[in-house]
Amino acid sequence: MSGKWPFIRGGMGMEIINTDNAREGMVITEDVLNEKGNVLIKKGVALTEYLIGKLKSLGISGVCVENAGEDDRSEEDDRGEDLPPDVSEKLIALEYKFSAVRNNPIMEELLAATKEYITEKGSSDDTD
Amino acid sequence: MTRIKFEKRFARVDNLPTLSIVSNNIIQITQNPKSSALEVGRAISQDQALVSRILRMANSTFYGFPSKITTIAHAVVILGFANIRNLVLTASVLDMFASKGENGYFDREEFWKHSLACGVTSKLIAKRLGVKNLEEAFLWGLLHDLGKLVLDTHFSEEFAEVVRLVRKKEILIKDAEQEVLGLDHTEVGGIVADKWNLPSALIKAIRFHHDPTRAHESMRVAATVHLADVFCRALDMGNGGDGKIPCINEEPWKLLNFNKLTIKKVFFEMMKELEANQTKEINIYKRAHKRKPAIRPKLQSRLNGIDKSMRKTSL
Repeated sequence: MSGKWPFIRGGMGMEIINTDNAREGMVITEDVLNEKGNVLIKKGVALTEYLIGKLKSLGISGVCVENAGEDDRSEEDDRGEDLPPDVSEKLIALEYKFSAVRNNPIMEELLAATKEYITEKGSSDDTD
Repeated sequence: MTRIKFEKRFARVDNLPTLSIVSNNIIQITQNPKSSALEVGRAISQDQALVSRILRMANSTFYGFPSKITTIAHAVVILGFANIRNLVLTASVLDMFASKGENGYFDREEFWKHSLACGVTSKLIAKRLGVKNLEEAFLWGLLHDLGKLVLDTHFSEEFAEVVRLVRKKEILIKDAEQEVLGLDHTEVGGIVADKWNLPSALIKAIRFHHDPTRAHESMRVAATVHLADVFCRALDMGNGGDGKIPCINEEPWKLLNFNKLTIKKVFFEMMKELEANQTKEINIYKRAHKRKPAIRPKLQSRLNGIDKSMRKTSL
């Protein structure tokens, strides 16, 4: 890996596509990370128009998606359950909102708390 | 526009909002310890619209008074002078800046949602700090962005330019205000609040919510609102006109002693209090006053020149 952001890896049964060519419904096969290594979109999440717009606004030029016509989702998922799409969208929006205040430890703590809150709330809403 | 130029215009403007005679009168009476409840009640009854608004607000869940309050006499006795004064102030400010509705390049509905959420959050943070009068803390948050309302209503062309710049450069509204006007909504709000003789803690909340260390002895007040504002932005509770988040200052952060766990705790409390009541409450705060002065047509004509796409508040 070149170390260039965004950190995404290619692999079997998937292809890296330009974000400009991303379409709604395409399934992400590798986590999309920000420059700090935090997960923006988890693998297994289907892209929505909103997510594609956010990827573009964050300057993420490419993502890994499933190859058309191939089903390679049998690959072991060691990250536990996938996040609901609306939670992923909120996390992306959050990254954008905080993009100008990174490297500030107070804001990093707030961001971490907010992410945990959104994720926990998202999963508790699911079970309601 | 240079700062001096705008400041001059700002000082010269003769249509800056003023409190009504009735409100002013009530504020004077409630500040005098020799006044009687009867006098206060009589003063409020001069304005029937104010009576109904005060009763609605006094019974609103966010104020949290335990029993239903049905008459002004009851309200004065139960709530006390200080709370009545706060309610009158809130009602007066809300009436003055009644909802703009369809003109919303600056989205007033989102703005009130943000203000309301800040009020609730200020109250929750103040409670952690052991502040006694939590209704007042609610008011600090509710009215902290008074300056934006003044700008949007009385300097709508300039404020439209500010909002345009926020979207173009994706910056904070206070930075865009500095760039366009040479001063920001905290200064504008502070000047107006000062002119109205608002309680000094409230003036400090309005004036220093982006820079609490400058509030000196009222730093706890300003820090409470500073954090409440940032928390509401993090959780997307309403929108005060921009899509970014300002940095929390180090000193107030230490003063309020938050960490990841306590932030999350407050987040859950905020959501609990807001989710149940927001829709009902927001109507109390944003509802247009029937006797609004006719500023709208003028504003509409100014707005006609603004690109349609600019009118929608996104993010």
